Amino acid sequence: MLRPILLVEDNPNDLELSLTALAKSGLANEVVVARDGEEACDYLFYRGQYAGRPHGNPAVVLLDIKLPKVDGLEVLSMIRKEQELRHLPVVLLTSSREEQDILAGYQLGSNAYVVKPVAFPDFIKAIQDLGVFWAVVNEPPPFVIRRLV
Amino acid sequence: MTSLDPVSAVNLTNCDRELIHIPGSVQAHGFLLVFARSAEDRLIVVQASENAAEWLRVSLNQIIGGSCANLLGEQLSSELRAEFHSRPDSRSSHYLRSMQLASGEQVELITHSLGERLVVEFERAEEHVSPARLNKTIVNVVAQLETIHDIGELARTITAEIHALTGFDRVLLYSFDEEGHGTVVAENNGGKLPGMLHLHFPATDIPKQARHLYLLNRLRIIPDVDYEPSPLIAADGSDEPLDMTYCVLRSVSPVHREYMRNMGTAASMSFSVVVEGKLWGMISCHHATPLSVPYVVRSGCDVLTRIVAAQISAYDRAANFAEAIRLKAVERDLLTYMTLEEKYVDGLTNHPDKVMELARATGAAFVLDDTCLLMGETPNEAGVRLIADWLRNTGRPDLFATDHLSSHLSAAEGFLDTASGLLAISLSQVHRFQILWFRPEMIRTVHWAGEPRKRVSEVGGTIRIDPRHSFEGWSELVRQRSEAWSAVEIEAARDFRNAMLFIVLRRAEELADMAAELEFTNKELEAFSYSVSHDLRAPFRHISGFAELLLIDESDKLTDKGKRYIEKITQSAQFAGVLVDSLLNFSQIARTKLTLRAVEMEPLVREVWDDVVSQEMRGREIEFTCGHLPLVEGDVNLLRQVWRNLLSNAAKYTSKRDLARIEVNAHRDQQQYIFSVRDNGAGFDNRYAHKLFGAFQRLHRIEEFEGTGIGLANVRRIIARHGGQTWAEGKLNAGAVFFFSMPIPENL
Repeated sequence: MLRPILLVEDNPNDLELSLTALAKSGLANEVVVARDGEEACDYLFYRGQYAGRPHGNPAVVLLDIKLPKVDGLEVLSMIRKEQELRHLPVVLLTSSREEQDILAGYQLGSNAYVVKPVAFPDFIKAIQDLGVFWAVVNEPPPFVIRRLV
Repeated sequence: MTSLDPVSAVNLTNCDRELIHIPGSVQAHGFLLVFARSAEDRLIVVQASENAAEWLRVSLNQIIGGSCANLLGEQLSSELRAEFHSRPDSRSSHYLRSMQLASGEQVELITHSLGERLVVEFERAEEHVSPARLNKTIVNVVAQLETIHDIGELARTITAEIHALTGFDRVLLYSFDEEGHGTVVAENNGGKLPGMLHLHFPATDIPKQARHLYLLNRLRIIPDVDYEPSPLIAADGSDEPLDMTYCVLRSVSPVHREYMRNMGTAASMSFSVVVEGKLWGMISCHHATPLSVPYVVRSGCDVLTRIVAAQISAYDRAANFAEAIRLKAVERDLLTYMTLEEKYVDGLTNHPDKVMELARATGAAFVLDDTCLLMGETPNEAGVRLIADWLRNTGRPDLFATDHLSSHLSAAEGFLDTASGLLAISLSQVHRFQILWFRPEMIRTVHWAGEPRKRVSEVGGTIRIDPRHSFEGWSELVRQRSEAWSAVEIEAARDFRNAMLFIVLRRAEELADMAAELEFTNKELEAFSYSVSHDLRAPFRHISGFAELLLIDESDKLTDKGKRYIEKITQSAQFAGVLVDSLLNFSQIARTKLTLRAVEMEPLVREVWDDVVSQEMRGREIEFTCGHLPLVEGDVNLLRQVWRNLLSNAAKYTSKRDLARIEVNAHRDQQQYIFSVRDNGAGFDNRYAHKLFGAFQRLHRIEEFEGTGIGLANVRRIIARHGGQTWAEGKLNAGAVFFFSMPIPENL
């Protein structure tokens, strides 16, 4: 069964480009979009509008750092604290090449840090590579049966 | 009657140690009695000059131990007792009255008291001007002197008046310089003795203890140089030698009498000119034949001399004040200039005339660490540094002044024409921070009255100083000395130093504030670049992205021209992204902390070169040589960037050559290594070499060779942070070579 790709991106242009790139990559996975950190957490923690969604983690989270409300690094740290989400693959996909961000990302436990290239062909390639790797090639961590309270 | 013992006269020894105040004898033109008070308040003689017996026509035995009343009468005795009572320990002579002795001789009585002793001197009376005339003269002269403010005129007037009043042939006024040498500033000469105007007398002519005595007692007279001294006699072991400082009859040193004879003077008289408690000079009167002048006339001359001294004092003070005020104004101007300039040093160096005026110097120098700025007439820079270093190394105090620098520093003999005199202030113990003022040599001819050095001879086992024999003019050419620095000028320099210290301190505080502000600004800049890295990139990415999508998804609807336009949009957006990245990288270099360690340049170059070849030079003919490269200390990542930039450039600019020839080398030059990258590529016009390393500067059109123009600026920044420099040479179409230097590591 194909798990979805969770794309967390607030900028509408970046969102459109990313979705277009994912579409052109030929991946069959569903893409779930969260527009900010709060929505991302709602999805991952079965809250808010996602309260009754079917159980299961996405194949990979493509996470931008600069997000309104709850920013990317905060989301990442919350993911890593949660037992069920600790091994969830997270790729930080962001504009910043600042050393401090890269370091923070890895320290908080991201699996990869990708700087969005300006040249669009490169961008498509990067998205495609990521998608193909994490959503297809990589063996996802088995998820634990959640005990219903 | 107790047995008599002559009070022993002192032996002649070294002049300065001669105890001239206790000669133990009197001159022949009078006699002396020393009284003590008895239990019954009677005056008893405890010491007397031997010649008293002759004068009083009684035996010495009757005099010593005898009572005043018996010897001189009840009247005089009570007068003397009253005198003793009213002026105990007076330490200054006082005219009592005249009297006629039993022999019929007229004598003048002059008294003073010393502790428990009353000294009475009986001086032979002389025919001279009447008291009325004397008084009139003195009043006139005082009135005259009070109106004169020029010291020269003052000197001429007083010598003329004293000459007229006393009849002495030659009256001189001389003043003493810092070392005690005397210069005759005025002379009134009747013609019988040689003229001495402007002549110099060495300090040794008046030994130290004489000067001391002349301060205590302002008058002295020797009416006849060939007098026979009369020793003082005291009762057996009863009295200590009499301190004759205040005596008018004091017998003078035999050396002095010989000096007088050598000068051709038979009689002499002198008055001390005391200004501000110091011996400023003397009025000396000389006569070719014996001559005496009564005490009251001498006393009158002393009054006139004191008026002159007061005038001199007032004049000096006024002159000093005026000078001090003038210099203070100069100082104030300089301080104002310094506070107005951004770099306070400019305040000094932009006004060299003022700096020199502060000390009335002809040259000045400002030394601060390695900076050495010269103003006016100075030794050359090497010379100034030598002097400045000597000052520091010999631990000179904050202020040093000399008019004879070569006597302290023999090397200064090379700079006599500019730096015979030096006035220097030091503003820091730790750093080189000094201001030096210079004065040139002032060659003067000093006319000494006779060869100025005293000769020493040995007579009977004791060393004797021979007074000068010849007073013929003896010229000395004074060399290696400048005009002396006045006390006022030295004070001005000291004041200036204090003011400068204050300014420097304040500047240091300002700098500390600025550093704090800079720190804050830097932090703001960091925050700024951080948002640039996010915020600027995104729009360029969007432009590029949607333009590409347009090309990909709608190409069938686009004309060729349309497609071309879109290409341009895409390229520009991408280039903008690259620029942003370059800019951010460039600014990061300044912000990053250097991680210093030993870096072997050779393997680093080979590693970078391999990357450049594989990434940028596929399919090209290349000849690459790399000489032996040394070890340096630096940040390996930043140095990698340097090599990347330089080698990448070399690769780029040789792209049009069939064979790209690139050479990397290094050599040692004194305290640094110099690295070079040489290529046989397009080169550049060497006239613009200085623009190469500027940010975003390009010397080629972008169609010829792509690039942001920031690579070399990066190189310069990185190398600058490592303490080195960058430069290049090129020739159009004949290749280029880029150099950078790095310090040789000290302890690797």
